[in-house]
Amino acid sequence: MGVTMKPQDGSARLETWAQVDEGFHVGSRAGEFLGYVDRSSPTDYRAFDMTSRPTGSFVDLSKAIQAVNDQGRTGADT
Amino acid sequence: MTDNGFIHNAPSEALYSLVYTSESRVPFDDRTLTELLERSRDANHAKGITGILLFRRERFVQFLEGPEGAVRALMHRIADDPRHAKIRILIDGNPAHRQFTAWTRGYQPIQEPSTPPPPGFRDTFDDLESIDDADAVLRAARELTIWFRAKATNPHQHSA
Repeated sequence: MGVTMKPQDGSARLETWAQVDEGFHVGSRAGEFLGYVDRSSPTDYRAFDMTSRPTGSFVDLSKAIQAVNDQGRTGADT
Repeated sequence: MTDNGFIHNAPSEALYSLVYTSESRVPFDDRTLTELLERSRDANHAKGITGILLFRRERFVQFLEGPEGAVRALMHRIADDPRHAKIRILIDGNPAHRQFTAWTRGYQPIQEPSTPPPPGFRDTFDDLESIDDADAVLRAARELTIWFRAKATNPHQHSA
């Protein structure tokens, strides 16, 4: 599973993801908190944004992480 | 010093915070850790000290914040406590705001994961012990804070 993602515009905004506890993962980019993913069941990964508000539920970790990364990029670009 | 359960500093003393790790010299389980926290909770609340205590792999990770003199005095007592060994202060400073206004030394059990982090993921506890990477230590401390807040908000959320 790839968790370090390079944006298509060629900039160097790489995300760093860490496992804190079983099923709990936190993302950062350039030292800033991006959001987190908390697993509530084997097929329910809940994504939260940088203000810790829920942004959606996903069936696997990679999709939840992608959602947090995308949301963070949108927030950084606006 | 308290207002509706929230703790504020006396205006004359700066807010001070630190994060330390230590090794346990004696066995602790959830029951003995809870007893330890209950004994110190009232005293710390009266002194305006808040924070969290984590225990994993026979190591403590503790965040303390409050009036600088009170936090430094508590840290000296911890350093003299024979139950702690290899104490290392990871971060200290004077933040503008508390991170744990509503809790007084909250305790969250944290289990050893049954599986390693997925490929490409960092391990927060490994980063916390980084000797030469201050950025990783800061990031790991923030990750633990986020985890604690999430679990305090949704205590019944499970990860099984």
